[in-house]
Amino acid sequence: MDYAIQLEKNKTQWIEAVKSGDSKALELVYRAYRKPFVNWLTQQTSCNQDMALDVFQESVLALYKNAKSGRLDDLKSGIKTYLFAIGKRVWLYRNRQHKVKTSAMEIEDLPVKELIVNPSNLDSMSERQQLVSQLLSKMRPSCRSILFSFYYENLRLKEVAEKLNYKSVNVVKAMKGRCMEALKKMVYQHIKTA
Amino acid sequence: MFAENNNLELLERHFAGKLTEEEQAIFDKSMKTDADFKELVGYFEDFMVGLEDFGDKAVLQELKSLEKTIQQEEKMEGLQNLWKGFFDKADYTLEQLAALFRPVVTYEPLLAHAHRGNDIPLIVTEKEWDMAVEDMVLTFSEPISSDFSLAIENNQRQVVWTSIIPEASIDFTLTLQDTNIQAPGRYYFKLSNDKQTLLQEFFVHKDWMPKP
Repeated sequence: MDYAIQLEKNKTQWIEAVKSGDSKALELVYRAYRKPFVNWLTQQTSCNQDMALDVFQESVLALYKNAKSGRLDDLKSGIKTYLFAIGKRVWLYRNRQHKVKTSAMEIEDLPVKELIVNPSNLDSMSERQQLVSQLLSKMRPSCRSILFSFYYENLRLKEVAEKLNYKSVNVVKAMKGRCMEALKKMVYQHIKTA
Repeated sequence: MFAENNNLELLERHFAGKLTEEEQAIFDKSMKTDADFKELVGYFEDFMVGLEDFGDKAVLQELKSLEKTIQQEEKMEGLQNLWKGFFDKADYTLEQLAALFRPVVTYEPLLAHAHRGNDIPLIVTEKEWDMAVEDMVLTFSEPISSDFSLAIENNQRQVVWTSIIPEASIDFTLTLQDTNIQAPGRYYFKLSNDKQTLLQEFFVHKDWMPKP
């Protein structure tokens, strides 16, 4: 199966799949462009295979976040072109302190506004923000899933209920409130005892 | 409390920029006059940033697991191709195997253990590589100062595979699947920079080499 052809042909459906929290969408884009991306980056730069895979994974994450937030809704180029443009920026961002030859990286610079290329930046996060990120992994899986689906994947309550097999939207809504309260308590207690 | 007075929904709509003018006015007033509400807003802001970071890490973790799966799939595929290429020892006659393992006489004095290039910081081992058994790992004593070319020849001196080892590499791993070698036998790799070439032999299925 040629994932890339399938993906470019059904660009809009792919974006919709990302928005609806379909995890297969992420796998599809990963499998479609993994080899061409790694080959391109290792040939155009001094990047080795492992580093190229790291850059690729970060670029796929950025692509996913851009799709999820609606920034790709009017995408004129192909997904590949867009992904490689992100990849170029991620690579340059990672090497901003070194002199990197960029002239050889032949990829179209897209006029994309607000392109997310470095989603997580621990340096710029406050202590409490970092604490929230850490404590989330210690929460009950049911809470974690609801908060992740609603706030990170931007799913509606109805979609969260369907995805996580809850009987009604009201159950999810009530649980979401309780989970946020529990998280607040955990953060508060952690700060108090620290 | 998030659960009180629909605070949570209010905060969510505020951060999504979906409050009506009237609601926004109430929100702004509460921020000025209600310390508890202001604290709650601070918590919510931090929760959103923390959640975003948690989510990013979860997605990256998912991608890393997928990468592992793909690498395992490729390895399996490589092994299947390898066996397709090799068939079985029984497919080769003793004469054919003897021919495949015959050394290149003119290469013998040039082999790495006898002759080391000063400009190529390869750590040469006395080990006889068998790539059917393990991957070949070339280790350098220091990061290489320029791109090196790597060529593999069979014992007919035909180049069967080439690659570039990029500048600053400290090691290089080569698997049999990477090389697309399709037959057992004696092989040589030539590692070169613009000044010197280093030659070393290795085997593919040395256990199939006929005893003299």
